[in-house]
Amino acid sequence: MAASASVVLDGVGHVFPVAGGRGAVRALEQVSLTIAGGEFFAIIGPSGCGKSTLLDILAGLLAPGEGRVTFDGAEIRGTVPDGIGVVFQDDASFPWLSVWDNVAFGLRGRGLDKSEIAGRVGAALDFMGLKEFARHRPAQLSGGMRQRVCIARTLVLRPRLFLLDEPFAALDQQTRLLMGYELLRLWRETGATVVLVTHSLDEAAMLADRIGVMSSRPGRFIETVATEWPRERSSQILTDPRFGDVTSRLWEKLRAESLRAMGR
Amino acid sequence: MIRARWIQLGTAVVAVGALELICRLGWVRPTTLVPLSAMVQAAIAAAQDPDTLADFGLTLSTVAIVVAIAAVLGVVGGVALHAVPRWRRAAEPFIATYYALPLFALYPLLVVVLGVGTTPIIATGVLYAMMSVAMATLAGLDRIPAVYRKAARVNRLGRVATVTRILVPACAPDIAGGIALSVSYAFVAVIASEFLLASHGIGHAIADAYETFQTQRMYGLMLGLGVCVVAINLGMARVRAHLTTGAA
Amino acid sequence: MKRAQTWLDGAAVIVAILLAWQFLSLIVGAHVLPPPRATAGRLVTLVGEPRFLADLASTAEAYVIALAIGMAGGLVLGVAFGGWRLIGDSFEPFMHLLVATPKVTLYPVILLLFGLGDSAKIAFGVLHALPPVAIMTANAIRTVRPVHRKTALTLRLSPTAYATRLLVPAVLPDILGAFRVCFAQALLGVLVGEMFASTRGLGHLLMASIGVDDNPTILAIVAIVFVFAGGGSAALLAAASRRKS
Repeated sequence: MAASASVVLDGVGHVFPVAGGRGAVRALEQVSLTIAGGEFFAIIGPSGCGKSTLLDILAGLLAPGEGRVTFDGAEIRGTVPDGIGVVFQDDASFPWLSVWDNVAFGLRGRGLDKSEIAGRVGAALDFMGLKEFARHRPAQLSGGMRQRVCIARTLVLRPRLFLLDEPFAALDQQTRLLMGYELLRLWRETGATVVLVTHSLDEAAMLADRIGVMSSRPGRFIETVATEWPRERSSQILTDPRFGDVTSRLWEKLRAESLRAMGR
Repeated sequence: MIRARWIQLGTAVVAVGALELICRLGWVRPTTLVPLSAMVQAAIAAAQDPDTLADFGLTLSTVAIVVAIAAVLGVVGGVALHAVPRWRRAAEPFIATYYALPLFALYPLLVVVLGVGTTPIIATGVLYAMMSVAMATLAGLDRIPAVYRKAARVNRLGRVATVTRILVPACAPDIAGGIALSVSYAFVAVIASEFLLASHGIGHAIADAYETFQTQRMYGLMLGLGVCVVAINLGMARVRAHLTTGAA
Repeated sequence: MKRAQTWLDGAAVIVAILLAWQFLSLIVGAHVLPPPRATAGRLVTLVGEPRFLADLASTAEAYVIALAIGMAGGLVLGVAFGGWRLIGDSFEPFMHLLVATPKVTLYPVILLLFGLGDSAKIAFGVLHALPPVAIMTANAIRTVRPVHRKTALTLRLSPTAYATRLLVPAVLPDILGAFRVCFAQALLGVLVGEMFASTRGLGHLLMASIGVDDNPTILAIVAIVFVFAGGGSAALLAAASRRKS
């Protein structure tokens, strides 16, 4: 089992210049948060509240304009550190490579020997149920399968922190549910920390240990809700009366912010 | 973007400075390369020489004639090809490979057929410039919404009226883009023709300066021509940018 | 059925071109513009002449070298321009300038720098072929999907690995298109170079034939060059569309 990580955000803020003209858009303001090692943390918020910006900062894809982000005690500032795996909303599988080569992509050129690469790729394909599709091209797979390929591609690197930016948003409802369970299984078996950005209240309430609710732009956390689910959890949560409590609490917080984001 | 501008400026300054330096230090013979200051001097001298100015005028007016003919032929050809889908399908592979042909090799032939003078130069230029207008016209006509044609029929316009009053105005921005592109083609063809076989024009003047070992004058003429072509191209790029944003 | 129709239409266009040529030849006179049959006859005798074969070989050699340098150099510059924004913003405008310049005027400079000989015409071919490849490659790389770029960053690829393992495979179909342009431009550059100042090659033969009013030879060379350029370009176009489907 991989070692756990902990993420600390301290007064993080970010401002984007407006393309072409003068002025700027403040995406994030004074975001502070501590995520414990091995925790499953979900972020929800109205559209355009800066969720993805926050995730890009966490991933090291964007340097924060203000504040500090640390991962395992080391500062993240605009470069992707070792031990972080990112899955995006858009299909990021490479259409010119087979499923196997897609999954092996990040391992090549790191000085690993062939049998090590083959072993890790085989295990990841197995874990994500892609074994029979190893020789397929992404174009021959469904959207859900392609997203599995992308998850497997980060899985082989054995990250201690998984960042997922609305990874299931483009999938249909049934596939979403199934992928949610896959994610839970991955979290349990790797022991990694997971940060999931989603716009689905049910998804957040069903999967996460804690859920951070963000305000409309400029985004900051207005509430953190703990679910207190056991580590071993299943679809039975959906019928648990506490599940309804969590979602209604989230919606209560989010409703006003969503209306504000819509300009009402 | 601002940083890029500084790097551009820096590169240009370093290049010009290096050129000046290696020439002034005598590392290269003045018959091979002259410094920019000498080029500018030569360009100014050329601008005061009526013969050279006449050459410049001849080249520019030839380009203007080429573009005018190419625009008319290109639009007519584009409209005709678009009207008969079968012709178009047959011509498509030839259109696609048109600019791959070294049309230039036809120039000697045109000299043989049309005689020495401006006529074969204009013909070569038209050959080059025409197709870009025709291709742009075809692309523009393809983009016209079907409802425009319906509108033409509802208003009981004839075939000619449909073309002149609806189709051509509707794809005017595309056609203008094609004409702007044809200016560059016209320049390339006209100057290259003058350079190779003609006895007048700025292309010939440059070739003549090279052959008579007037290196400094040659570079001066190139500089003048370069400034001229760049100015016209920049102007055209602006017109095209204006048209595309205006159309969107 | 449809396919046969397309071939038939294409053949009809070729026949139309040959008829127009024949007609024009009748008007201006066969001694000025030899008709297709006479040209074909001259072509056959030309291929038997050792002097012609030497010229053809000289042009072919310079062309292949210019094509290779233009393509390789254009790819490297294109990847740099498209892959790193600052490099592209800073130096790509110079390439656009080069594309827009009537390059013949630069030929004397090349002759002065490289001397009379094969290297000058190769350099001239490269001058024609390289800039469009660089610009087309850079544009293709700019259209690489942002999520693929982000993925490469999160997988911590080195700059070289980023270029060779992500950018180049992602834009391979566009590179085929750039090769088509390179194919045509390198030929144009080498031929014009030979026409202006060279002692051998097809371009030189063309100019020498003009000097002695040898019209059948002029037409025969033009025919060879057109068939080669048109045929090669059409074949590359067909290969590209096959890849796409």
